[in-house]
Amino acid sequence: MKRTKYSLLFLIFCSSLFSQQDLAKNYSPLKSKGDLPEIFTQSIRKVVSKDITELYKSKEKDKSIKSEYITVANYEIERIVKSGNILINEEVTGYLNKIADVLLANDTALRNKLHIYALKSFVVNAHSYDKGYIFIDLGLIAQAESEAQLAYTLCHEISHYTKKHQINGYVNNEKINRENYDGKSDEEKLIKKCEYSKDQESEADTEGFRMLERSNYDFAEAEKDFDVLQYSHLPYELVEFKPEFLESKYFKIPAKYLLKEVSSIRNNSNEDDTKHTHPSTAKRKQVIKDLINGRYSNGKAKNIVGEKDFLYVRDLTRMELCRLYLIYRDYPNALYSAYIMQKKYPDNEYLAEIVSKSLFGLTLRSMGKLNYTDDSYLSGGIPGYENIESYPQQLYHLYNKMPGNEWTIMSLNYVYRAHKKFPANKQIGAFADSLFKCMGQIQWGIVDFVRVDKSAAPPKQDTVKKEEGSKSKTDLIAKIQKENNYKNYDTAYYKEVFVDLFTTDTEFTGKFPGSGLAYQSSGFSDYRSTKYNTTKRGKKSKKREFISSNHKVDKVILLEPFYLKSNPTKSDELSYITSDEKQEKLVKTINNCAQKQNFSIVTLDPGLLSSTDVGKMNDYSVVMDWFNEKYDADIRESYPILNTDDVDGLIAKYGTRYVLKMGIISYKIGLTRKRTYYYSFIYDLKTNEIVYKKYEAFRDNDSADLINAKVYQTFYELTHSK
Amino acid sequence: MKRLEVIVLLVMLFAYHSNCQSTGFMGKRVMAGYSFNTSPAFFGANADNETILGTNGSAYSGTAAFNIIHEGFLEIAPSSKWEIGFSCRYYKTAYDNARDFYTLNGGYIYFNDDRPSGYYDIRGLSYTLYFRYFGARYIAPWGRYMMFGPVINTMKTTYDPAIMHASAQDNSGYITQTKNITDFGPTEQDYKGVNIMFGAGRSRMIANRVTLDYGFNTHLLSLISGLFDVVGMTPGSYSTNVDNTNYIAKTVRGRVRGVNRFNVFIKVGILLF
Repeated sequence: MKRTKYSLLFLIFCSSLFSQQDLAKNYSPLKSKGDLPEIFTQSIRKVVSKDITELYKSKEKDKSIKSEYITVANYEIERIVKSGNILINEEVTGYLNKIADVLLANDTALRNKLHIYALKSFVVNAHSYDKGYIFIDLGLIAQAESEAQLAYTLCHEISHYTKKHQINGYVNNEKINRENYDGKSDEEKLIKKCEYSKDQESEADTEGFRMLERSNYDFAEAEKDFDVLQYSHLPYELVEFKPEFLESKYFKIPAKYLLKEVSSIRNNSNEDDTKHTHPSTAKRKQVIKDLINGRYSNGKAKNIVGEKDFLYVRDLTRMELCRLYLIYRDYPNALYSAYIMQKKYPDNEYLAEIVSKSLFGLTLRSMGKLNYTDDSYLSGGIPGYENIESYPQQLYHLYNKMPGNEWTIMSLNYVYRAHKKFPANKQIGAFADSLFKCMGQIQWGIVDFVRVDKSAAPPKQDTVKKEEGSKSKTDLIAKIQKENNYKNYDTAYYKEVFVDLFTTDTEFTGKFPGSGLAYQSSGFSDYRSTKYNTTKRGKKSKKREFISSNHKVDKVILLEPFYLKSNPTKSDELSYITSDEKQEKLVKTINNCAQKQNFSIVTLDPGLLSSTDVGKMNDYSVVMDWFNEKYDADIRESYPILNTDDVDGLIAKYGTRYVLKMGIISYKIGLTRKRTYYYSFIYDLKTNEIVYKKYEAFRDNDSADLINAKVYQTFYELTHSK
Repeated sequence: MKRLEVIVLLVMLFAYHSNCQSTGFMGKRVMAGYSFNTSPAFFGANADNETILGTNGSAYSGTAAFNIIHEGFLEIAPSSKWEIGFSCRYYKTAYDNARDFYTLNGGYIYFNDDRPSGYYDIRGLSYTLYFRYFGARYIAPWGRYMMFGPVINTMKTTYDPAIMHASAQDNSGYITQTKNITDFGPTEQDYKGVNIMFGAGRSRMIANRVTLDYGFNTHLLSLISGLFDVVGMTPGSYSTNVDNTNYIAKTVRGRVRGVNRFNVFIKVGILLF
């Protein structure tokens, strides 16, 4: 009886782990589940030490360089795993592992060495490390056309691992770096490194193909995989962008904003790959074509785990991609991706939310209220439609051609109607509210959307003529212009856009700028154009590096503190380990200083998690997404963070809205000159503001007293701020 | 002296209570400890009557001679940038009687020796009320700083007539008599002086409890008169007769200035609370 009960509980647990989402209705962002893997709980220093000891026991060559690689690789793997971007025990990672199970059904030893994870990134790429860690970017999965193509990608990455390409590549590159290389230039060194890398890639292509060939997957899909790579710069599907979904009964987008003929897709498969780490796609494809040699893959399958699973997982990644584009403030791509998915899932609430957010983001951009920086993903801003290929060009054309105020009207029209469709969705409601405010900021009110009463219009031309004698020239011009404006306003295509809402929706009318009605906001933190204002900082506060603090900060979420110790006179290996040790001490110092001043800290540090702390890992991921979005635009501005679905929950869970980031960077210049930088920033997750900032440089070592003094001072200033 | 102590006490109390907003180091704002000051005894003799270069006095020159000052201090940080301190310095040194007699003593006694033989001992106590200003980004009492403050120097001299004496011809009587002059005034003499201390240093913290400072300090007036002292040409001294009755008074301050002119120091303190 007991056994049955436990079995039932286990089944419920398993089904909760892998129960499918109903994408027709909604989508929940991908989150890790279950127990965290061993890498989270083990001491990376011990792992490095063990690996190096084993290396020196072996008969391997180039032990010094390899020992350095072991350190670098272990820390790099740890960095990726603990970045909050890998997905643990959830559907996509589970699916990838199922494919690996199929591929390596006859090689359990190898299979057991592999750790395969999906990586939350829209980049079309995959990475392999010597420790058996393989990371497949969601961008690649979203582009795949079949399970067999994903299987080939896995085969390629597994071959990198089995052939020890990473470590051999590192040794080769280091040798080129360290040896004078007969006095050759950096460019020649780069070409030499790339040649070696290309050889490795070709080997992984070939070996990967053979592995795929041994399985029951359709090996012909390997060739197609290169087509996917070839066009990976394009969205995962090319669908004509028809903006009807942005229209309504009384709002039709004029033809002048629409682009009928789109540009062709460039083919750069044969581009010069001399300075590339990978051979050109055309060459790689040809190699696989030669290997296939006209054979038919009879009896082989495109999908073994299952087509349904493949399509579902791919849809999950495509849904997630929309969100990832938003994080990097790539609103056109987010909008286009959501548009593609809406074709399949027209009633999906999440997609309506993505479209709403994208429209709002583009509205801010068109109003000049969102600036990208050189560090932004879109460092050059939103590209002009001339630089875009194929159907997405239509979206960029619409955005480029439509004036900002009209874009705002169109956005409000869509977002408000989405809000009515999904009234429980606070995010959509909040963005609608924010768009109302944007309307107010562009000085448009209800009167601008009401047809002009003919009797109220300015006097006709003949009346003007009668008065000409008594009017000056400039008065006359002003009068004529006013009359023309009336005409334009009266005939503008968007004049009646809100007619139905004005007549039937009291909420809409109440929220509309200039209505005079005080309608309640839907409660989400809407956009506020708070400027980073140094003049507001008093002399004293400037000295103390406070930016602003309307609220007393007495509790913070502490993110993993950063510590970088670099010494050019010593090897990288030492810096990694020293940095790690110093970081551990910094965590203790922070807690100690906070405790001394009764300051509450909740630590959200992937380096301090136990195997059951998957919830904290997901929370860390939420905060990191927030930071990625925050830092993607000019951080001095309180630009809205659009990806905040989980932030409110996080604030409630930890009882604070403030996140503390602290770090030390210390390095030597030459033999004697030392520099140490200390920083601590506190961010308000609600208002997107930096409420505390300290960034100081010292011509000193990163001594314990320096760190203690500065960390203590930070908490002192927080506890004593008024 | 009691009045000085009371003033110092009041200043320190005021400093402690005036600004409770001071960060201190890990919350600690008061420290006390010991400082070791030293400088090379280039021209004046140290406590062992040794000098590095010497000025033709009686000191053992050509040796590695150093002035040594022991100092106790109490410091309070009323703000994150300023600190108020009070210190008491103690040092022993000697004057190696390098200064020549200048004139006849009353016109009747001619000194056969250019200067007295031997040396006399000096013991000094200096009281300094000083202020330390910590550089940008540093927090009192940690980091790089500059300091300054008024100093009261008190000194006590003692001489041994068996060591310090001079031969002279006494013409006051009918016949000239050769005399051994051993009277240089009272055996113990007290003197006072004022100065202004200026210095800079760096303080480090060990185990969040022990402070370790290093740096330098100078007495500014000593520094200004330094060049003259070095060559034995202290301003004003040559306009006054120097004989056995005022020999110590005319030379002691110069020697004390030499001790305090420039010192490097290392301080060890305890952060009290």
